[in-house]
Amino acid sequence: MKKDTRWAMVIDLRKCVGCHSCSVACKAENDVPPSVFRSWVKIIEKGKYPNVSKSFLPSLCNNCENPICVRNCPVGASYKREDGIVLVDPHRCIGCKYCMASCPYDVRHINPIRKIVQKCYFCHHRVDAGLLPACVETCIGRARVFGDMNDPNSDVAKLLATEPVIVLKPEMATEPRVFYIGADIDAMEPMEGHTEE
Amino acid sequence: MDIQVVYNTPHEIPLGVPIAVYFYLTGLSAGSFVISVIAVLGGRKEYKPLGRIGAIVAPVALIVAPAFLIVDLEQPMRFWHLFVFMNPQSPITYGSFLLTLYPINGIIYAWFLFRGEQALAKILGLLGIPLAICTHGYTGFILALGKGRALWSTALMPTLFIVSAMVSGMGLMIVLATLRWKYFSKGRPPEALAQDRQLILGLGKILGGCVLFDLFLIGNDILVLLTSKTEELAVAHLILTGRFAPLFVGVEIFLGGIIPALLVFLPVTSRRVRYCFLASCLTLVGILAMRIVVVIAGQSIPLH
Amino acid sequence: MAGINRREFIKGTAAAVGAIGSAWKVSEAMEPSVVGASIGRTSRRPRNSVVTTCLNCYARCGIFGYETDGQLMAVGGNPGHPNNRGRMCAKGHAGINILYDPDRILHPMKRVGERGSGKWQQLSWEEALGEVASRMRRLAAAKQQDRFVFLSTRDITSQDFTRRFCYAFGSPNALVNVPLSGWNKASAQALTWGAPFEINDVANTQYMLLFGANPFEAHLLRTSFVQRITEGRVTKIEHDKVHHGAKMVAFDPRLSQTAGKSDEWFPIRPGTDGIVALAMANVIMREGLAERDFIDNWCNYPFDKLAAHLAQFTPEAAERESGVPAADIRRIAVEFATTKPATTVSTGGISKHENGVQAERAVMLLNAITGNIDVRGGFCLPRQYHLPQPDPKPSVPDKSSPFFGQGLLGLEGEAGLLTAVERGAKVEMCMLYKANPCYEWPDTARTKKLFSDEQQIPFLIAIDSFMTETAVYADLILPDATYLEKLEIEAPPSFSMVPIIALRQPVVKPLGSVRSAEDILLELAFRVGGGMEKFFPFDSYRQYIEAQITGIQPLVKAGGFGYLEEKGVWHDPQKKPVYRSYEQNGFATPSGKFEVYSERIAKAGQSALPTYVPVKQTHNLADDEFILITYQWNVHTHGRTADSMWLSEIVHSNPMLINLEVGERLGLKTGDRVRVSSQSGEIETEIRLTQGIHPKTVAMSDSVGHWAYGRIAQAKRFKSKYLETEHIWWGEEEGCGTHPNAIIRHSSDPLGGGEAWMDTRVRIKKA
Ligand SMILES: Nc1nc2c(c(=O)[nH]1)N[C@H]1C(S)=C(S)[C@@H](COP(=O)(O)OP(=O)(O)OC[C@H]3O[C@@H](n4cnc5c(=O)[nH]c(N)nc54)[C@H](O)[C@@H]3O)O[C@H]1N2
Ligand SMILES: Nc1nc2c(c(=O)[nH]1)N[C@H]1C(S)=C(S)[C@@H](COP(=O)(O)OP(=O)(O)OC[C@H]3O[C@@H](n4cnc5c(=O)[nH]c(N)nc54)[C@H](O)[C@@H]3O)O[C@H]1N2
Ligand code: SF4
Ligand code: SF4
Ligand code: SF4
Ligand code: SF4
Ligand code: SF4
Ligand SMILES: [Mo]
Repeated sequence: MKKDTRWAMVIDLRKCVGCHSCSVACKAENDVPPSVFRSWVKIIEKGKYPNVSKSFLPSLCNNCENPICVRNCPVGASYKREDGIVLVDPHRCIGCKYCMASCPYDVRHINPIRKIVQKCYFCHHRVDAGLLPACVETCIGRARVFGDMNDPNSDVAKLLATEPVIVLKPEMATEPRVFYIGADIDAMEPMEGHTEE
Repeated sequence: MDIQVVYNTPHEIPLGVPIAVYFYLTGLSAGSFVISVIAVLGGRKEYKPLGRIGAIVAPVALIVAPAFLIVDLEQPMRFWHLFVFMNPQSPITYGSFLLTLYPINGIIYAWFLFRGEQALAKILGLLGIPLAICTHGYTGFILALGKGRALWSTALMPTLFIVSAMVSGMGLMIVLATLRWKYFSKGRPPEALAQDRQLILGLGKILGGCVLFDLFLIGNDILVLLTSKTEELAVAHLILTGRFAPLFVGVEIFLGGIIPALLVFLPVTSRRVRYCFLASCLTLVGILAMRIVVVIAGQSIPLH
Repeated sequence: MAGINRREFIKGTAAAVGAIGSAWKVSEAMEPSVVGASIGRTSRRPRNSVVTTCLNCYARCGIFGYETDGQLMAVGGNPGHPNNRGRMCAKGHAGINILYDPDRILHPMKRVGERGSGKWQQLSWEEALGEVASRMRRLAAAKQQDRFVFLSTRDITSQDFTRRFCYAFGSPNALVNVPLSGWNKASAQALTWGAPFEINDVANTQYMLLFGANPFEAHLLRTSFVQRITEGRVTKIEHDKVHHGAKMVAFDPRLSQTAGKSDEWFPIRPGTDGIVALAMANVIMREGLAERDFIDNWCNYPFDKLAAHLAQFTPEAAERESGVPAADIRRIAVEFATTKPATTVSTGGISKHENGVQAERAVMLLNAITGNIDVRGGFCLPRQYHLPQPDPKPSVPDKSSPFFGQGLLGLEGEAGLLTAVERGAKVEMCMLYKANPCYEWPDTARTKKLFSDEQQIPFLIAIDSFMTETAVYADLILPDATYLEKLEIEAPPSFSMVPIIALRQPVVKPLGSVRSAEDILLELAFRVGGGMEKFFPFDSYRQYIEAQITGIQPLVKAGGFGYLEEKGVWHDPQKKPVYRSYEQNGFATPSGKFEVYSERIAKAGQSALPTYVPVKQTHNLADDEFILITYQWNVHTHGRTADSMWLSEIVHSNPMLINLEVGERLGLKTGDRVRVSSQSGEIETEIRLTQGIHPKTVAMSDSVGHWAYGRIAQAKRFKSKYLETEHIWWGEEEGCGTHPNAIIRHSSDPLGGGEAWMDTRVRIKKA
C-alpha cells in the first residue's frame, strides 16, 4: 500500500437504481445478522401526483477523516487505520454504545449475536487483498466507485476532481470519505418525510 | 414538499433508560455531596446532621450508579477495559477515573466526618467538591460531545447537569432531613426540632433558587433550539408538543420545576415543612424525568 | 485467482481511465479490478471458486460460487460474463439462502394423511421412482399417456428436456408457465418480426420510451439490462465521441422505481398503452417524421395506407382513453422520432392484458416507423443460440393437448389447465417441476380446488425444493437440487450482440439426498421403458448437454464442455456485433418482412394492423371501482425467494398502493387494513397511500404473502442452524404480506394466450 493511501467511495446517484444489491452483498460478505444493516438504501418518494419522483440514498459508514466515534470511544476499540478506514476491535469493544450515540449518521449497530458494535469498514479484508468492497463489486447500476482518493489516477480522485460531489452533514466536520454525486437533498435530510408516531 | 419515506432502516436509540438512571444517580450523589461539604464547612452546629446525611448518600448513590452503567454494557464482563485501554479524548475515560476517585474520596470524607475529625473532613470535602462537580459534569460532556444529537450538543449541557444535580441533591437532602425530623425525633429537645424545621425551610428556599436557575437554563436552551436548524427545531417540538411533551412539559417543567418553586416561595405554603417536603419530592421526580427526556428524546430524532 | 494484488488493481484502474481519456466529465468510471474472487474474512485465505450461472431469476447471470471445505461461503458475479459483467442483484447474493434454507426438502416424501393434511413419510428414491414409473407404465398400458401432464417453470433453456420427456412418453401435455408472463409479448413479436422478444440496446441509445416496463426492479435480463440503462443515461466519451445521457420516459400507472427515476412519468390508465402508442405513430407519420426507408423496404404495408389507418388514433382520442394529455403525446412522439437512436422498452405492463398482443404490436410499430429496428442504440433482434435437440428425437404426439391455451400460435398454456379440466379433460397424473400454481396462478380458490381434488388430479408429483402452496397437495415430493447444485446449459440472449452459451454446474455437493430434476427424469425414462428410454441414450445429463453442443464447431474447437466447465461462458471470438442483421436473411416471418400487417391475426378475426381494443373488464368503471395491477419487487422473484432471509428482511409485506387523494376521500390512511373484492373473491390487506399512482388504479406486488413454502416466508421466528432465524423481527410488526392472486380472475388475450394479470376490477372497503 502506498504511504498516503486514503480509501474513499463515490456513489454516483445518477446511476443508482435502488436495488439493494449492495445491502445484501454486505450482509453476505460480512455475516451481518438480521435486524441490523451496515449498508442500506433509503428510498423516498416526493412531489404531488402526477409530478412525483423517487430518490435513492445508499447509506453506510463514511469512514470519516475526523471520526467522532473514534474520538469518543473510551477504550480505543474504535480506531482509524493509516489508510483512513475506521475499524472496531471486536475483542476490545465493551459495548457501551457511546460511539453509536456519537455518530451523526447512525451507521453503527450492535451485533445482536456477538454483542459488540460493528459497522461498515470498507471491506478492509478485501481491500487489503486487492479486491473491491463487496458492495462496490456488485453494484448493478455501476454507481459505486471505490479507490484511493490520494492517487491522482484513481477513478475516485478523478470523479472528486471533476464532478460536483457532496457528503452527508458536512457541518459535522467529520470529513466523510463517502461522497455522493447527484444526491437528492431531500433524501439526505433525515427529517424530511419523517412522521412522528 | 410532499415527501414520503418508502424504505429506510429504523434509527436506533442506543442509550437507554439505565443510562438516564445512571446520570440521575451521579447527579444525586454530586448534589448531596456538595451540600454535605457546605454544611460541614459552614461549621454551624445545626447543619451537622445534613453533613452526615450527605456524606452517606453521596458514596452510596455513586456506588449504585455504575451498576446501571455496567448493566447497560453489551459486554459487562469487559468493563475493566475502561481502566486498561484508555482514550484520553473520550469523556467516558475521564469518567471511569472520576467514578473511582470520587467515591473513594467520599468514603474517606465520611469516615473522618463520623469520627469527628472535622479538620480532615473539611480538607477531603474541599478536595471532593471539584471531583463531585466533575463527576457529574462529565456526564454532561458525554452528551455534549454527541455532536449529531441536537438536544445534546450544547455547551450548556455540563452546566445544566450540574445545576440539576444540585436540585436533585438538595431535594434528596430535604426529604431525608424531613423524615429524620418527623420520625427519628424521639427524645430530642424541642428546640433542636425547631432548629431542624428552620433548616429544612431554609434549604427549601435554596432549592427553590436552584430550581429557578435550572428553569432559566432550560429556557435558554429551548429558546436557542427553537431558533436553530432543522433537527434542533424538531427536537424542540418533540419535547414541547410531541411525544415527550407530557414528560418534559408536564413532569419535568411543571411538576418538577414550577410547582416546587411556587411551593417554597408562595407565602401560603412556604412556611410549612410538608409543602417543602412535597416540593423536594417533586423535584426528585422532575429531575429523573429530565434525565430520561435528555437521554431518550435526545436520541429520538432520526439521523438518516 | 490467488494472484490478485494491489498492483494489478491499480494497473487495471489506470487502463480503464485511459480508455475514457480526456479530463472531461468522467462520469462513466469503471472499476475493473472486479476479478471475481473472494477471501475468508478472518482467515484471509482465498476461497475456491466455481464458475456457474445464476438462476434465482430468469436473467441467468454469470456467477462464481465461493466454497471452502465443501461449504458455499458466498456468491459473486463473473466479470467474464458479457451480460452481467461481474454484477449481481440482491437475489443473486441471496442464492446461498436458498441452498441452505432450513425448510428445504432434502429427501423424497410420500403423503400419508389426507391430501393437504401435511402428514408425510420419508421414502427412498428407489421406492419413490418405482412408484412413479409403475404408474406411468400403467398409463401407457391403458394408452392414456395424454392423461399425463407435465407442468414446469419457465426454465428457459432446459425446458427442452422436460418436453422431450413428455413427448417420449407419448404425452403432448408439456405445459410451461411462460403464458403466465410473456406469451402475449412473445406472440406479438413472433407475429411481427419472427423473434420472441427484443434486445433494447439501451447502453447506446439516446431515448428510452418505457411502456409498462420496470427494469430497475424486474426484467427478464435485469442485472445485465439495468447496468446498460444507467450507462446509456450518463454522458460519456466513447470512441472519441460524446454520448449524451439518454432521456428516459416512463408510462406506468404506478410510480415504479424506474418511473420514479425517469425524466418524465406518465401515469397512464391501465390497459390503454396501445392507443397512446398508436397516437404517437399517427403523429410521427403525419408530421413527416417517419423513416420511409425502413417502411418502404422492410415493412409489409405501404406507407400511405399505414398513415391512413393510423389517422383514426388521434392524440385526443388517446387522451380520452388513457388520461395522458394529448399535448404530451404529441410532444413525446416528436421527441421519440427526432432523437436518434431511440428504443421503446415494453414488458409485462402492457402485455399482461387481454389486449396485450395488439398493444405490444403498436409499440413495436413505433420503432419500425422511426427506423430504430436492429440499429445500434435501437430495438434489436435477440442474438441467441438455439441449442439443438440431440438425436434420436421423439416425435410430437399427434393428439394436440387439450390443456393448451387458446393462443393464436398454438402456444402452450398453463392456467389453461383450469378451464380444460373444468370442461372435462382428464388428468391421471400431474408432475410439477419448479412450479407452484396455487401461488402463482390467478383464481387461487379455483386453482386450489383443482390441485386438492383427488378426483380431478388423482396423482400429483412435485419436483421441487420447497413445500410450496401446491406441493402441500402432492402425493409424492421428489426433492430437486437447487441451481447451485446442478448441471444445466443456458443460451440466453446476449447484450454484447454476439450470442453466448453458458454452463451451470454444481458449486457444492447436493444436500441431503436431493437429485437434479434432469437426472430424475432420465432415470424415470429408463424405469418406465416401453420404448421411452430409446430417446434417452445418455449415461448422464452431462452427456445430453455435450451432445447438444457438438454442433457448435467453434465451441468444440475451443474445448467444448471442458471450456464451459472452466470458464462458465463462451462466445465465438470470430463473431463481431453486426446491426441490421435482417438485411442478410430478412425477418423470420412468412413474408420475410417486418409484418405491420399480419395475415395470421386477420385469420383469427382481429385487425391485421396494430389496433387498440379496450379491455372489457376495466373499460367502464363505477365510481367505487378500481383496476388492480400487480408488480414485482426488486429483491424478490415471484414466489421463490420469500424464504430467503436477506431478501425478506428488506421486503416482507406488500401493502396495497392507493392514490393519496383517493384514499383520503375514502377515509383511509397508510397502515389501515382494507377488504378488496373482485368477482373472484376477497382478500384483506394493509394499504399505503401514495402520490405515485393513478387515481383509478391500485397496486399490489405478487412477490410476498405466502401461506406455505417456509417459515421465513411466513415471517415466523424459529431456531435453526443456518442464519439467525430466531432474530426474524418483522413477523409481529409487519407480517408477511397478502398474496393478490386470490382476487385475480383467470383470463387471457385471445391472440396470445397469455394471462391478463392487470385487468382486475376491484372494490375496496375499510376492514
Ligand atoms: N426482481 C425481479 N425481477 C424479475 C422477476 C421478479 O419476480 N422479480 N420476474 C421475472 C419474470 S418471470 C418476468 S415475466 C419479468 C416481469 O417483468 P415485467 O413484465 O416488466 O414486470 P411487471 O412487474 O409484471 O410489470 C411491469 C410494470 O408494468 C406496470 N403496469 C401494470 N399495468 C400497466 C399498464 O396497463 N400500462 C403500463 N404502461 N404499465 C402497467 C406495473 O406497475 C409495473 O411497474 O421480470 C423478471 N425479473
Ligand atoms: N399477480 C400476478 N401473478 C403473477 C404474475 C404477475 O405479474 N402478477 N406474474 C406471473 C409470471 S410473469 C410468472 S413467470 C409466474 C412465476 O411463477 P412461478 O414459476 O411459480 O414462480 P417462481 O418464483 O419462478 O418459482 C417457481 C417454483 O420454483 C421452486 N424452486 C425454487 N428453486 C428451485 C429449485 O432449485 N428446484 C426446483 N425444482 N424448484 C425450485 C419454488 O419452490 C417454486 O415452487 O408468476 C406469475 N404470477
Ligand atoms: S460515519 Fe460515524 S461511525 Fe463512521 S467514521 Fe464517521 S462518525 Fe464514525
Ligand atoms: S461500543 Fe465499543 S466501539 Fe463503541 S464506544 Fe463503546 S467500546 Fe468503543
Ligand atoms: S464496503 Fe463492505 S462493509 Fe462497507 S457497506 Fe460495502 S460491503 Fe458493507
Ligand atoms: S447496488 Fe448500486 S445501484 Fe443498487 S442500490 Fe446499491 S448503490 Fe444503488
Ligand atoms: S438478475 Fe439476479 S437473480 Fe437474476 S440471474 Fe442475475 S443475479 Fe441471479
Ligand atoms: Mo414471468
